[in-house]
Amino acid sequence: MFDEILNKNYFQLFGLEQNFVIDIEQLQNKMRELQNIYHPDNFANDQEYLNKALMISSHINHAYKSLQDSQLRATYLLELNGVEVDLVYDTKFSSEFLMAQIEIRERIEEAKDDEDIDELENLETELKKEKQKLERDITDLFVNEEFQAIIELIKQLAFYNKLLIVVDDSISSL
Amino acid sequence: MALLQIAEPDMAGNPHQRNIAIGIDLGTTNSLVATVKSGEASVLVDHDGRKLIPSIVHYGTDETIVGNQAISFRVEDPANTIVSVKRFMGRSFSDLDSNITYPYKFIASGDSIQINTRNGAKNPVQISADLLKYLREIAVEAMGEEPTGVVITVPAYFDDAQRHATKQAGELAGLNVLRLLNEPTAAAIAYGLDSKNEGTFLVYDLGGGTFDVSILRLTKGVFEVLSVSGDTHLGGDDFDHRLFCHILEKCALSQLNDSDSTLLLMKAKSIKEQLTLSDRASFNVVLSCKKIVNFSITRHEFEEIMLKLVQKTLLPVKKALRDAKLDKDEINEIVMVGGSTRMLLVRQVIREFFNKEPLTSINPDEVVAIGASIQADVLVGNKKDDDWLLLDVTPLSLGVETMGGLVEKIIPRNSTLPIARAQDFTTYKDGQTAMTIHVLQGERELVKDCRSLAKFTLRGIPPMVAGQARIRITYQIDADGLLSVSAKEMVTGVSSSIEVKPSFGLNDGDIGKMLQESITNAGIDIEARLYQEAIVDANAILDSVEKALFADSDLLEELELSKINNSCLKLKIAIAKPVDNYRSSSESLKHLVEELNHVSSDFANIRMDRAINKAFSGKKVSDLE
Amino acid sequence: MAVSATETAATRVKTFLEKRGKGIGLRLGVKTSGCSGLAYKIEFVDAANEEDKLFESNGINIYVDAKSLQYLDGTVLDYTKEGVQEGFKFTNPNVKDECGCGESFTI
Repeated sequence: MFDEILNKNYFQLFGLEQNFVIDIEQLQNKMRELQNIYHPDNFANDQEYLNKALMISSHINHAYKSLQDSQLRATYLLELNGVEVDLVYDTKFSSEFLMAQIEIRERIEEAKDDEDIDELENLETELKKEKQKLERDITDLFVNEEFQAIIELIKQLAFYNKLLIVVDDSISSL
Repeated sequence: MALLQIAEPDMAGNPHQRNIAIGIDLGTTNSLVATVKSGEASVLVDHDGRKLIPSIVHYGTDETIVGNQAISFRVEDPANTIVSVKRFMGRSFSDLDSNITYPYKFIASGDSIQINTRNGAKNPVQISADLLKYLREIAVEAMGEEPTGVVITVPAYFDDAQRHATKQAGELAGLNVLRLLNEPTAAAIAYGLDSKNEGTFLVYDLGGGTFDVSILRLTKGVFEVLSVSGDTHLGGDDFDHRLFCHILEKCALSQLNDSDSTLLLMKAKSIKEQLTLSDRASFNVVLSCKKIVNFSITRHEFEEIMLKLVQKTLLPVKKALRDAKLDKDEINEIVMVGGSTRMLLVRQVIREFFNKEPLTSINPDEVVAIGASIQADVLVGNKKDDDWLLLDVTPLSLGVETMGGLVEKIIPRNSTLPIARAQDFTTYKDGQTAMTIHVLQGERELVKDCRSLAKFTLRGIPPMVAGQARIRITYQIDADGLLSVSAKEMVTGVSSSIEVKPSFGLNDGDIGKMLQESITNAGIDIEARLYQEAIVDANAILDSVEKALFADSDLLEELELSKINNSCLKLKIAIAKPVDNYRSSSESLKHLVEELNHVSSDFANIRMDRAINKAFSGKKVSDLE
Repeated sequence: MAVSATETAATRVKTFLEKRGKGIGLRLGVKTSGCSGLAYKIEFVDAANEEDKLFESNGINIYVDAKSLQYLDGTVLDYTKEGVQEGFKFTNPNVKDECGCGESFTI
């Protein structure tokens, strides 16, 4: 029963359709259901299965995280379609996109220096909106199976996710 | 005879085989042990009927005394009476706060902390184990049987080394440690089960010296920790200190001696406690200089002084909310843990922030032990229907060192446990057969700002052209938050798997050895102590010779210099060498110290001559050192 | 044939049931194991079995299966405190010999 879990793809594992748009609640419920069976705490007195359970339970957590986060989910879905995304080495961006990024970073730095929490919170809202727009575009591109275009958007999504962390850290530090 | 407890339907065990589960809150100041009896969790009491067991271990000439009986030895024999050992768990010498003076004799032993006691050198794991043994005895006496399984709680912010040390202490005490549980999580379990409510809980844990916040969600029998945050330097002691400063200012006191400071600090603490019940508190004391101090304060004044400090706790609360991606009105219940939450101001600030009454029905000192015992009861299998699962998170990010002293994060903080991540490396030289991996824990970007967990060299990589080998390193954090690392060469399939334990803890071999040692005679302890003394002597002479070389090596011929250097090097190697046999190691250290003394004796004479010459040429003797 | 509980025991049982939040009473029984033959068991009851006999004592329901009743007839359940221990104790007129710990017995 253990190997069966490892052989399924993440969508199958959580009983979801292989699609960019997913039912997050179903994902959560299924994760809890699976952990209720495979979590190592269920095998606390069973040395034989403990290590196996540790592996499976870790796998379920990783699979869950991979589908819960939109950037990771899009990347995984491309992978299932035989398209690799390499965020580290693929660093080509349009100059407008890069200019926009630099501008946002400058605004964050400025707001941080001024200890302007309101501005930081505005920035957070703006970034979240941009992120949602990207997610909608990715949804459409998946429908049309335009995989190369999706790679570009995933790269941009990664930028926004990083910026959101920077803004979050800045707010927390004030 | 053993008295019986009520079991769940169809769960009554055979006599002498009942599953007795206990939960232990191993605290800095006090520890507690609890169990579930007839479906009800309760804290067990010692012979004197006390629930709070002071975390004090006294090493006497014939016996080890723990808990309430050990209190008086803090004054009588502080060097052999260890308090708050939890602060030393999983810590190295360099971690010790140099502003605090301890009454203990520390021994340099590699990187880990050892305290020289009348019973020989003790490390924090052994001292904690003595504490745990005592708690085990309380449980055995109350239940009439050995516990089957134990859950021990740790602060959510404990890193891997501290967790390993805690688990090892449990094993050394002869306990079957089923799980390490984060203290705030334990508290949430105590309340979560009690209210039988599904929903989102925020645990506000303000202890004596640290502050922890955790947010958990209970849905369909799964307890999920969403985020943890905190401040490791904020707690009740800070409130006492703030009030102490206020008293000094109000009564125009300055330059107190140690005993007067301690006295006033105790008075400040008692004022703080009195003000949870009454609106005004006061005291009169006579200081050692015969000065009389009269102090009186209203609760209102007290709260004005404390407000800023209490509001400081809201920062980690907000951080935890942000990490959990929740708004403050999405929190269903706020659980109060730790003695400092008795302060009415704390409750008021929290009530106003959340616009909701915090939960305080379970004693804040006992709630962690209660929760731990409930979790232990589930893990030994005493519950069938009301079973639930706990999904905790890792409080600190895990990373590896990359080029330029930077840390690359592998597992981000707040990741649900257990978790495993793999990373592929390759060789950068033709025929390379080894590579070094440095694992760190923390949120900062530079290696020097994070805690080093393990540095190990992976050997036996099959020789290949540079860049061809593929080594997969897997980092596994289990449900207790404990890390293990394994490695495998992917191309050839050569699996040179390794297990790594953090450098500050003890490995399993050490534990086995220590278990054995505790059974056999104390002779080894004496030999160990002699060995430690030899190490101290060796380090002392090395230190002085090196200082002398630094100052006056120009006085030496090349041959002389190399002889001394050579002798120093041999001694250093001997110090670093792992010990198989204390007696022979001590012997060889002594021998090498004598040798170094011998080869450097001429040098010492020449230095003396130079010093005397300098003195004659008009310099003061005090300038010479 | 009957089994009963002292008032102290009954009060404790009521509190435990209340805290537990469910359950209709207590099951007393014997199992064939232990160092001297038979052993007592006490469990919460969520649903009665067909062959159970029901006894009411000091306001609590005590369920005993027919087989166990032969060994438990006349037994009184008490709740006591001995040193640091607290718990239930059986006083069984049928018992000839107990093992040291009192958890198992012969008749």
